[in-house]
Amino acid sequence: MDDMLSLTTHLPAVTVPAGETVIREGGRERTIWVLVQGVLNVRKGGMVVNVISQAGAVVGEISVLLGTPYGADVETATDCVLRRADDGAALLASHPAITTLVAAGLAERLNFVTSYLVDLKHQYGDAPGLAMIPDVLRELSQRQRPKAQPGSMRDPDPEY
Amino acid sequence: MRILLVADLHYTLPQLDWLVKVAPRYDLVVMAGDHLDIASSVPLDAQTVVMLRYMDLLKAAGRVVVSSGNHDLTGVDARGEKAALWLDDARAAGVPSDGMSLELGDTLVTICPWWDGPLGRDAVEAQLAADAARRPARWLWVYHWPPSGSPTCWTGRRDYGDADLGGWIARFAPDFVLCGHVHQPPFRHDGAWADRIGPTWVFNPGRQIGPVPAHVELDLAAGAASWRSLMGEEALDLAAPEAPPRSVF
Repeated sequence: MDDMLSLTTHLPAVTVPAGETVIREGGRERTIWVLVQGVLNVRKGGMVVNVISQAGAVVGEISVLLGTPYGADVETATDCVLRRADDGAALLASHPAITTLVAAGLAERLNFVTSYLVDLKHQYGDAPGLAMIPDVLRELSQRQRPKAQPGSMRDPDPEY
Repeated sequence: MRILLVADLHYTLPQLDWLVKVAPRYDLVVMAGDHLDIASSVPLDAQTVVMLRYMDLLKAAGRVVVSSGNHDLTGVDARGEKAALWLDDARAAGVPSDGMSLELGDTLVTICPWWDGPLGRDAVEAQLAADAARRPARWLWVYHWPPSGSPTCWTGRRDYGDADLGGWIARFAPDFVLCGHVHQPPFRHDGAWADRIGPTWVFNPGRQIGPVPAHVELDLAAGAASWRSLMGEEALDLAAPEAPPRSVF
């Protein structure tokens, strides 16, 4: 399957210095950004809730898909190179592979959240006081990092 | 100095809650690997998010150090070998982790990563050699896999130990090696939670079900160590030439 970087070479690339706001919470620009290089911070209520460093990560797509304002600020933590699609909806409709990649990313994050919740229910039953759940859910719902590759070559036995 | 050793929590959230609760009672909490569980239904990426938040809580509660185990590997490092890449975030948050060493009073703590290839093995050996040159009165290693030939790696059916650690213990003679990895030894007749190899004490608390993990406490000032589990409690004198006979069976 093509990756997002190879599918978006037609988009204009912009270099954004560290500390700049790329997406502002509440904005309705409908722009989708693709990270080529660098690190982005996702900030909500003044706090960094996620860090995005994976080349090919997409930001702004939820606002475009749902027709809602952007849900968080996204700012450059380092000097970044990004590709910009001013008409985000047109980008999503332009190629089935792009749509599939965006959907897969959303599905993966949804799977993180639902798996975490199901396991919490299994491990805790109905016990209250799980103060970290909102923070974990917020981070998982926005997580875009290279997928973990579990397992050891030296001792592949999962029992230990 | 009072030290609490746990290992192999394997994403058992009630045991992590217990650890956060008791951490303020100790001068140092050691988590000797396998924080994550590759057999869990929760994706490893989601587990790392939760575990990093627990490490933040533990850091706020007291001093904690963490080493990686084989379940904690999430990707390939710059050497091309598997490593616990997510622990970079723990280090960035101020939690001492893989490859780091720290001095606490007269005790040097060397945190060895799980190594998964020859280059990682060489790096661990270099780390130990470097720390040997500056060892103070006491030297403590955190190393996930107990040494082969020790009852701390006896599963009840086989000796399941690290083939290299024994050589490093013989060469560098640390005072303590805090391990995990093999879950059964403290719960088996011919296994053990403690073993003395020359001048070195090796500990493996084992793994158990329930909200409280099997754990080892070291009280360096009192010269004592103890193990607590669902099977009961045992204690030993760190000045003794060998671990005492098991008493919980």
